[in-house]
Amino acid sequence: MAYTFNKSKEMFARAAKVIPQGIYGHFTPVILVPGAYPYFVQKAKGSHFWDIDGNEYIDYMCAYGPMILGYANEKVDEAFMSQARNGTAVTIPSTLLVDLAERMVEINDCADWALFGKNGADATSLALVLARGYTRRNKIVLAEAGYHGAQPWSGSNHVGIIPADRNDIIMVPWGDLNAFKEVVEENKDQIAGAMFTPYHHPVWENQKLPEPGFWTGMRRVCDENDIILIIDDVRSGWRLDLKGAAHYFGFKPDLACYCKAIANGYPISALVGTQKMRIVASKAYATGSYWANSPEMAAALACIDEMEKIDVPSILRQRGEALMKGLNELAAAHGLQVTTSGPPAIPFMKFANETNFMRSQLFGAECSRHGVFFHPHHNWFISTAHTEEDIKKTLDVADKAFKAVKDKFGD
Amino acid sequence: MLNEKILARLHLEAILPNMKTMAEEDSKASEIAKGWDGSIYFMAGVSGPRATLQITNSSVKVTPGKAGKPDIVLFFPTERLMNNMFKGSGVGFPVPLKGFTKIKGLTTFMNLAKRMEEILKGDKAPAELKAKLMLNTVANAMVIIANNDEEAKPMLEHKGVTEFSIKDGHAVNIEFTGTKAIGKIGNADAPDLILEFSTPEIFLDVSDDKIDLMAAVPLGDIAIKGDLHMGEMAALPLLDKIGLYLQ
Repeated sequence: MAYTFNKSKEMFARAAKVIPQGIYGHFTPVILVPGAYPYFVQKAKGSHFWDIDGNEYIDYMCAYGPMILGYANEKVDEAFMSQARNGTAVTIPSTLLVDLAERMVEINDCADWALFGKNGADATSLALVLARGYTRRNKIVLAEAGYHGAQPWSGSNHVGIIPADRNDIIMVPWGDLNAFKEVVEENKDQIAGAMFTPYHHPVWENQKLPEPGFWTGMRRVCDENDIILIIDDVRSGWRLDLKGAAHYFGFKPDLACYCKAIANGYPISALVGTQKMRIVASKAYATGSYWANSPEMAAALACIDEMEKIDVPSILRQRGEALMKGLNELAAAHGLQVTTSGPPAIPFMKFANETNFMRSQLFGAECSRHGVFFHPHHNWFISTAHTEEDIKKTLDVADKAFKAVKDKFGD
Repeated sequence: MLNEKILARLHLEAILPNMKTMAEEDSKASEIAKGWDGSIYFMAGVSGPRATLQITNSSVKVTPGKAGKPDIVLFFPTERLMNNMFKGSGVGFPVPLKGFTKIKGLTTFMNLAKRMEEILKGDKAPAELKAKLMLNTVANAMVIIANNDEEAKPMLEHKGVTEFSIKDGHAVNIEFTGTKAIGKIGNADAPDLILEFSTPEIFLDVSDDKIDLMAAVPLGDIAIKGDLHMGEMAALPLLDKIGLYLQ
C-alpha cells in the first residue's frame, strides 16, 4: 500500500502561513517530489525515521550527512544529555573544549590545532579569513558547482547576493589542475587560498573522484605560489577516512573544515589546520554565541570514539557497495541505464539517458511512497545503522520503482 | 541597473504584441480596433528597437521592425522617452515623423493601450485573458532578457525547454539552447522543466510577486517537475528579472 501524506500537507499549510517557503533551505520539499515525500518527521531511530502520518522510511539521506551512527544513538545521546545537565551555553568554556581539540589533533592527519563553531559555514568562512590573513592577499579559488555553505561569498545567483560579495572569488572546474594553474598564473601573487571538496559532490550531477595526480599537483602548485590549500570536508569527512578525506586521497591540506557527522547530529563544526597556520589562527577573531557549548563537544567526543572503535569507513563502504551493486543489477534487469557515482559511503544514482531528472523523480517518488527515502537530485549517505535487512528491503522497493520508470519511459 | 534599450525591446516585442490577442479575445478591445484601419511604426532611439502595429478590420498585428508603408511614424529620440510613454511616467512623447494629423489612428492606439492596462493592471478583466497575456509577455520577455542582459548571460548556459502553463489552459515554452533562448506559444513537445499553475489567479499572483512560490509548490498550487536546476538557475531568475524591468 502506497503511503499518503495528509498530516504532512496539513502541517505544511500551517507552516506556509508563518514561515517563508513553509520549509526553507535544503530541507524544502520543492527539490524532492512534492506530494510524494513526507514534509515533517515524528521520530527517528537507527537508519529509519517516521513521518507525522506514521509512515516509516529507511533513510538514505541521514539528515544530509550528520547522522552516521544511526539516529538517536544511545552512546552519543547519553554523552550529550549528561553534559547538558551540567549546563549548555555557560559564561566560560568547559574542559571538553580542550579534550575535543586534543582528540581532533590526535585523529586528523592535518590537524595541529582545532577551532570549533556550529555549522559548516562557520568553518569554511573562518578558513577564508585565515588564508587571507596568512597571505595578506584577497582572492580565493573555488570549484564551479561546489558548495561551502549558504553565505554570500559561496552563494550563486540567489536573491540579495550582489556581485561585490564575490568580487575576489575565482571559479574553476573541479578536478581541472590545468585550469587551476591558469588562474594562478593570471592572478600571480594575488590568490590567498584554494578551497575545494576532496572529491566533487555537486547537486544535480554525477559525483566525480579525483584523477590520479590531481591532489599532489594541487599541493605542489599551492606550495610553489604560497596559496593556502583548504579542504572542505564537511560532507565527506569521517565517512571515507577518520583521518580525513585528504588522507584518503593521499595529500595534506593546510586547513580542513568539518561538521555534519562529527557529532552524529549535534550542532558542532571544526576548523583544523597545520602548524603553519597556527599563529594566524591565533590572531583571528572567531566566535559565536554557542561556539563553546559543551554538550555538543561531549557528543563529538563520544561519536569519534565510537567511529574509531567500530571502523566506520569500512562498514559504510561495504554497505554502500552492496546497495549500489543491487541498484545497478536491478536497473539492468529492467533494461534501464543508470550511473552510480561517488564513494560507496556517499553514493549517488542517476539515470544515464536523461538530464532533466524526470526518471529520477519518478524513481524517488515511488521509493518514498513505499518507505525508502532517496533524494532524486542530491547524493545519498550511508550510516552504520543501515543493516543488510534494510538494504534487502530497499532493493525490493527499488525493483518496483524501476518497473514504474520502465513502464512510463520505456528506457 | 536596468538597460533602457532592453526595456524598449520588452515594450515593443513582449508587451505590444499582446494587442493582437487582446483584440481577438476582448470585445472592448475589438470595438476600439474597429475605429481605424492603418499602421503605426514605432522607432525607439537612433539605433534602438522598432515595431509596426497594423490594424485591419478590427484585427491587430504587431511585427518587429518596419512592415509595409506605415501611416504614422513615431520616433522617440531616446529609448527612455518611449519607455516613459509605455510606463505612463516621466517625460514620454514621440516626434511624429509622419501622419501626425491622423488623430484617429493615434487615438485608437492610445485607447488600445489604455484597455491593455485595464486588463493587465485592473481586477475587472477575466483572469484567463489576463493570465494569457502575461504568459505571452513572460515568454517573449524571458527571451529578450536572456539574450541581451549582461547579468543574464550565465543563465543562457543551461540547455533544455522550460514550459509555463495554466492547468487545462494556455501555455508557453522557452528553449535554452546553451547559447540563446527561443520563446514559443503553446505546450512544448518534450519539456525538460514544467511549471504548471493550478489556476490563472495563481499564475498572476506569482507574476505580481504576491505569492510565496516555494510554499505554493508543496501546497499544490503549482506543480513543478523535471530539471529543477534549470528552473533555479535560469527560468526563475529570469522571471524575477522580468519583474524588475516591468514593475
